[in-house]
Amino acid sequence: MSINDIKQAVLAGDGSAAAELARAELEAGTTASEIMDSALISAMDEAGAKMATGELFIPEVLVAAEAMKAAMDVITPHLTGGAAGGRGTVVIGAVEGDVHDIGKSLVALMLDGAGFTVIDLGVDVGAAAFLAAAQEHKADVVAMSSLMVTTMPKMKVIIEALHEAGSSAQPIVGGAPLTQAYADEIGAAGYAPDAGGAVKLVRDLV
Amino acid sequence: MGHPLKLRLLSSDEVSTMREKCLYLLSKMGMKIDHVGVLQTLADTGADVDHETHVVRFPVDLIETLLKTVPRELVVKGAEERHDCAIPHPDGLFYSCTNIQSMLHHDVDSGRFEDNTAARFAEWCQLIEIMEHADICAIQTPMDVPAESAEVHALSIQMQNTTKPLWMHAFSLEAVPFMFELMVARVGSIEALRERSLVIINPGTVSPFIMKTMDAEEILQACHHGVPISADGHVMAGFVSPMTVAGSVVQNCAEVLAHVLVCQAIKPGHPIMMTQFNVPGDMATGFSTLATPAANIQRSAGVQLCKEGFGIPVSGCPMMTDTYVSDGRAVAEKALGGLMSIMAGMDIVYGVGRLGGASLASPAQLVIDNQLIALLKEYVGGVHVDDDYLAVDEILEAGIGGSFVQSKHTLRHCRDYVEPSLFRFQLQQTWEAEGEKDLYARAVDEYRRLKTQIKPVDLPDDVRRDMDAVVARADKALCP
Repeated sequence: MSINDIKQAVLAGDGSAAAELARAELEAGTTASEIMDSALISAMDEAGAKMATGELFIPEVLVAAEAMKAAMDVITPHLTGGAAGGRGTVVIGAVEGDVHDIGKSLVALMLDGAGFTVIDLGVDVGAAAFLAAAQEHKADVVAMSSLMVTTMPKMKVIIEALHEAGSSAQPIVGGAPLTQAYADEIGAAGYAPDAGGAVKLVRDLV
Repeated sequence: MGHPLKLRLLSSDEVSTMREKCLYLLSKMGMKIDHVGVLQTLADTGADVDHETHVVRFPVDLIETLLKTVPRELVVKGAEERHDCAIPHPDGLFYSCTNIQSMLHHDVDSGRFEDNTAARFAEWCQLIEIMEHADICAIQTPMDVPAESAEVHALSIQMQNTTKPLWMHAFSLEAVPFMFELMVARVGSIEALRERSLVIINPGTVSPFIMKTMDAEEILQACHHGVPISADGHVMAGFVSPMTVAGSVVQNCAEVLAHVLVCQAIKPGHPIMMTQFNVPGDMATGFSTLATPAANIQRSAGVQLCKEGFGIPVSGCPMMTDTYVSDGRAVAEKALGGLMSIMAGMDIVYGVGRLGGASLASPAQLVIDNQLIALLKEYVGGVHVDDDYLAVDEILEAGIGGSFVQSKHTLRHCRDYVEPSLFRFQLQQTWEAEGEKDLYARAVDEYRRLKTQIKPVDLPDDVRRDMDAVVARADKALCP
């Protein structure tokens, strides 16, 4: 039994095994923090990297995330200090006027699987709701999606609202019509072309 | 006449089972329809409407009743009658439609994707006007007009630059009334629009099973203005519909069927088609894949279910590719996808001029696809068998060891098969002497040649003024 076994159980999507191995590892004296860093987060980082190369498919990454959560449930009561807070908080939603849910929800799932606390506001979300959620949850990142040219300008409105309110949350954007150039133009802290890229971006920002 | 080649992926029993499942889903789970007026109409018609959740369940008896009023034939009309598309095609063939929404345009000079613009889209529409095999011109997204009213500008551009039928979809609820105002301005009155509808409108679904306010409003307005509809489902297998082909086909068909039922409840007998967007998701990236074997099987099975199960004409998007350049892959994917869906009976094939990604428009690809459509018509045209085509007398006349090249029969039929310029046979020496150009290079040459022949539609000043006034009102109302 080793930390690596937990990591492999997570990568294999075996939640029962991951939880059981984590419990045994705790009893053997390994700290919860070490299990989280060296097994769970490491496993999800590896899953993310394998997804980026096409080696793992999204459903396989998501089942790994579920396995990670099963192990997290075991170790969370033993975590102390900052480690108990996870990797950071992301408020996410499709901007006002846009009801396209697929990509946004996928990014939310992937961020959740990568260990972030995700507040999913759903679709057709205006600036006030983004700002309120960012403040309430002390968000590190506000992630906005748009699939339509007509709703893209709303992103700028939301970013300006965050800035005007003095929010420290970093705005990031994504969606089919978006480009890095547009993200730069509206003052976004980052842009990602796909769900895997979004997780990497948030990891880099937080 | 020959019999157009047909492809059946499903047995009659399978079609029957899948039809039954569509009805079961709409009666058991239903569709969320975010439009108060449409909900009331459906409730009045006998649907089970939950006015709090906006979920509508359609009893099977009601579905069967509403289906009886759906026209089996329709005409997608252009501004000029010569461009009208009678569906089903009188020769058992199909019609083509260009790509929708494109925000990016492949510039043949820079070799890069650049923002689509009003000028580029106008040129695109003018090209379609003179292309023999581009039948319907779909709306795109010029990026140099206000984003909030982009589709109103785009529809105006379409109307000023082609007289062919237009494929239209609004991007926001607020723009819908202006788009219909624009149609009325183009033809002079709502009565004239009902006679010559100019447009086929393409409302869609947010899968699974949500009809947005905008799409319901589009159906309502289309019924009021006499504009035909082609309703879309937007399933993406593995993400918002089952991973399996049969499951996604059933879900997509059920979602589109809900649009059909809404339409018939609003206006019995209003012309509506069922659209097969219907694609699998890419499990590695989460994006939709448009031109894989699974995508084409999904769409073609969907065509069969819609036509055999419900008897309703079908449009779809088989002229797709997932590549970003006009290369061999693009042609292979478009030819395979197009051929399969057309053989399955698709009436309008969408995607002419489109490359991969978020709807990239390429004029060179438009030129290639226009000619590819000509080839596809040949492929599915079938074999003529009568005395003239059997030509037994000609064989006897030529005799053993004889020749046919000088016969009147050969002269009469020597142009039966099209040879579009990009796909024409050439001697190797000729090809080398002409610069050893590949398909793309020759398509660019052809594009440049066509550009010298295009012009805007000659609209009366008062019509142009009225249309401009609608666009100005839209800008004022929609733009902050």
